Amino acid sequence: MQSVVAIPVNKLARVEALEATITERPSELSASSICRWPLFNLDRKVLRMRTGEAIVVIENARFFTAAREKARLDYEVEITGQVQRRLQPTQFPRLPELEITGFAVECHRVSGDCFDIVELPGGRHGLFVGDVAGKGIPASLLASLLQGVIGTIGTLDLPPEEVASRVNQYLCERSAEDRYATLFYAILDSAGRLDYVNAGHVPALIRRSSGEVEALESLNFPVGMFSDTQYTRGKAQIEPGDFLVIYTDGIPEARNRRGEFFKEAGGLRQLLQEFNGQTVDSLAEAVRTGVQTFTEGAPKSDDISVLAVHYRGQAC
Amino acid sequence: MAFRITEQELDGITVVSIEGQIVLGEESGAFREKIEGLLSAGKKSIVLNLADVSYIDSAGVGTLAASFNRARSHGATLKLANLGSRFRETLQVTRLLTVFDTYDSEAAAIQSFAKSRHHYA
Repeated sequence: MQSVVAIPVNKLARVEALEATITERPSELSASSICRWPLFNLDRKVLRMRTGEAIVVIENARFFTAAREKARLDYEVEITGQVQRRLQPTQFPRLPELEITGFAVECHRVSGDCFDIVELPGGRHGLFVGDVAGKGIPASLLASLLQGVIGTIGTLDLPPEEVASRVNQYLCERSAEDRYATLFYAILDSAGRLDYVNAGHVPALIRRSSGEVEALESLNFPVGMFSDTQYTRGKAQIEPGDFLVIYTDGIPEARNRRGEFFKEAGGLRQLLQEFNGQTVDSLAEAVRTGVQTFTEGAPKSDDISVLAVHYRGQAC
Repeated sequence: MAFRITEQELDGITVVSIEGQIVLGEESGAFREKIEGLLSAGKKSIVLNLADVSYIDSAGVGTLAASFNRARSHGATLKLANLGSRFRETLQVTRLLTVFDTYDSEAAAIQSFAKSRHHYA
């Protein structure tokens, strides 16, 4: 290489000036050694054309780099979603006295919801559904953490209000001030006795065998909001033939293309009243298709999680 | 409706009026900064006029709860005025209605501060 012509190009990739810097000694090209020469001997048209070609190459390289970075981030989000889905339960209890199932539908490949089942001594089950405020990766990180923390504290076989209290303490100490989660945690025994804590969560619903629907409303603050919260336990009796549905607000808040909410069109309560199936799987399917049919393919606005129980009663 | 926060001082009481949606992102960030700024400036009596808030999402509720905590630690009081039915429902489920004093009008919220001052005088 004998010489270098340096043409200044601005951020918008336009030729800034055609006053070039020419050096006969490119190896010595540096800010201090550059001396400016007028363009007496260079064809300005050719120079402008060549510079234009160089700009296209530079721009393509920039787009390629940005596209590659976006593809890498997309891949990481996809993998994060896969990791999170692997954390969800896949095997559900199928016992003579009860059957449980659950499913999740993410809004953006990762979910801010979590749900799980904790097997407890004496044929009892801890059941929980949580919903972290916010969306995307930050909410999904906390949701996975929440699932692990509740699952671990749940195995200590503490009363539901104590589980909520410990989870609350943990979140208040470890997460940002404006981060919290709503939580429904329940313990169901083989005789159908249900002890629960509803911490700012949408009401779980009991669908009686008569078709009547009862709501287990929130009596508490969410977890992670106020460190001094005392949680209050609620109680209910699940009778043979009843269904219990614990879910997140992605169901009542699901919108159709006209912007109407599912809850305003009867929502889950009406769906359960009209349900005439006999199994927990058919109920879960009815909920899934009910929401899908209502939203008419409108873009999802929130994650959905459902944990459903069919209680058949103790064998005589 | 574009998100907008306006502030006015009425007899030592700061009235913050919010327009638009308090949702995850710039909106909840701007709301948090506004409250943080008022508390840092030593404001003790703050009314949030929510008449023109069309929607609040879970992140917005988190910001509201964090603002309540911050106000409490600064010895300040946040009161809410003009809650719409949907806003009220959201605060009902999270039980936040039990920590905030709520009023049907901005004037009633301002007057309640005046009354409590008189009471403690």
